[in-house]
Amino acid sequence: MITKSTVTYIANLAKINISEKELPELTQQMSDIISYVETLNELNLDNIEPTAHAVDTSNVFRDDVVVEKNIIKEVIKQAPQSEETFFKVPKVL
Amino acid sequence: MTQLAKLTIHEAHDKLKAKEISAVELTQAVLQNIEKNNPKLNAFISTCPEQALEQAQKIDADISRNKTIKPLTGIPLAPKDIYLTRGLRTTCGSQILHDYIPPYHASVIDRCLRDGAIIVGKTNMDEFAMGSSTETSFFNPTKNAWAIDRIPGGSSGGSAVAVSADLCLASLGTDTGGSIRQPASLCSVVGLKPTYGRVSRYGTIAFASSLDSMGPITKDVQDAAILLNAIAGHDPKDSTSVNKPVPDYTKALGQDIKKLKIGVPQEFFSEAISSDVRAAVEKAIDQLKTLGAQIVPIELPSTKYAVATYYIIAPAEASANLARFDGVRFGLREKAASLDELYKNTKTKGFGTEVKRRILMGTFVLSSGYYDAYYLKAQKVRTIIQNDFRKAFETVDVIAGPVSPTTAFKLGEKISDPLQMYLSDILTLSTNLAGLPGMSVPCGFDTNTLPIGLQLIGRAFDEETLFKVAHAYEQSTGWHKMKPGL
Repeated sequence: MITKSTVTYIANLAKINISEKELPELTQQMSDIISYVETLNELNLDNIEPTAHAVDTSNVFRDDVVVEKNIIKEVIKQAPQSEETFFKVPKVL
Repeated sequence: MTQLAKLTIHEAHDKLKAKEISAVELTQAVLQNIEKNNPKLNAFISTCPEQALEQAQKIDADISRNKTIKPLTGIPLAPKDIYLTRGLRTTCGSQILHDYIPPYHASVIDRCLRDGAIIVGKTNMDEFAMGSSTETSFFNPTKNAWAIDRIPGGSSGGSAVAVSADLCLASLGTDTGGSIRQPASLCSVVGLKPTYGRVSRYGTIAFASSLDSMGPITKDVQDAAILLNAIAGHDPKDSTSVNKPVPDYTKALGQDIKKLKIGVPQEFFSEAISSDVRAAVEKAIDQLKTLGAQIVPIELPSTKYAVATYYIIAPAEASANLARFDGVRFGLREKAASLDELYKNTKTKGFGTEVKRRILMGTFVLSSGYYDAYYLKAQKVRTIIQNDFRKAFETVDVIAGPVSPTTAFKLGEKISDPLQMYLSDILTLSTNLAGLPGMSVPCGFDTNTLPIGLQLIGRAFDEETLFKVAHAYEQSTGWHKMKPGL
């Protein structure tokens, strides 16, 4: 079901490196968990609507009015690397 | 002097109002206790003694000028390190945020501070709230004050221990699958998970956005009502917070429970429940009967699917929420030659094993080809779980049962078997999936003097009935007056 190559593929999607050493145990654990959650297949779910949100609220809108929040200085203070008000990263390509 | 640290919020409030004690004395007592006992308990990730005393001095000046004292004024609080506190390090128990200083307060923190509460520090927790034992914290586990070779529960373990050991007068935790109720029950303190949407989530680091609930961990039920009064209510900054008026929850205290119907689900009393837990909880339910409530057997057949449903939905939502921790704008950043490497190196170094496991699980169940088979299916089972509760609440007002199948297990006992750890959450998960309020209130100890909690689950936005029942039970027993010997 979940093989080492599944884990490697998913890890790449999630942008996490999994070492060769970690791979076997992690694959086994994920496989066990997935087998367990497959108990949901016992249920007949025809005609059941999915619940994404437990409480009965729907689209909450506000007026499209700008609210000034001058916290750019504090936010950029947190940046590992920055230049003026830009976050600096290694080249993308 | 450290005797003052043993006070509850309401006791301290009375003494502050009567000018019998000062906020500085109270804060000093708590800080002294922290200095004495935190090294062996590791309940705190950060403490801020200077700021706390500075705040206390300001509060004392206000009190001497006869400014109004609110119930939280001058009260030392220790919020879980998942709540953003401006200027005070907030780590979420993770290496990826180990130096992070937030630029703003969580709404809940704002409300407490505006009422004059004093923050003494931030408590330890499972990393990103993922865990049931506080063992996944980057900052080492917290020890249970009742037995320091045992877990305090999780993920709000630091909070529960800080309250039980008088290292603060009260705390704020979070509950996504039981993380307030379970540590409260394992540490003999009160823990309340309010209805989803009752308390603002703005400024609290998100784990699973449709499940996360913010709530109080306190020494008694009255304190929980006081804290809920302060933090509940609509917040325009959290569009999932509900625009419903907030009653005065303290008015639900001291009421009799004679006309109430208490549902006891047979599924909450399976063979997985240890005999000590079963005995204590059954005795507590008997006590509720003695107090005049009617005990009604009920069924919640979907209970057996709660773990599977939760461990698809929560990791899925977590994988989305934790994508932001990428080394770009804040937190840990590892060396890298390209942006892709930056993401990978930072996340690999910054996240612990359990967090990585859940991110991978979440990514998997949401990935192309698997979404319908897992995530969509789990959302449908979530509907079934909600419907089970709706049906039950047609005939009863409150549901009662255990919080945790066992008392506190030993440190290291379950950490290498994730599935075993997940299965221990079976009694609390369905409450979060259904968005309902749930409370844990102390109801006894096992033969090793390890605490046991009684769980009460209520209708949506009916925290008042939970307070009514919990308070009546608490006042008819002496569990809340017992303290660990430290």
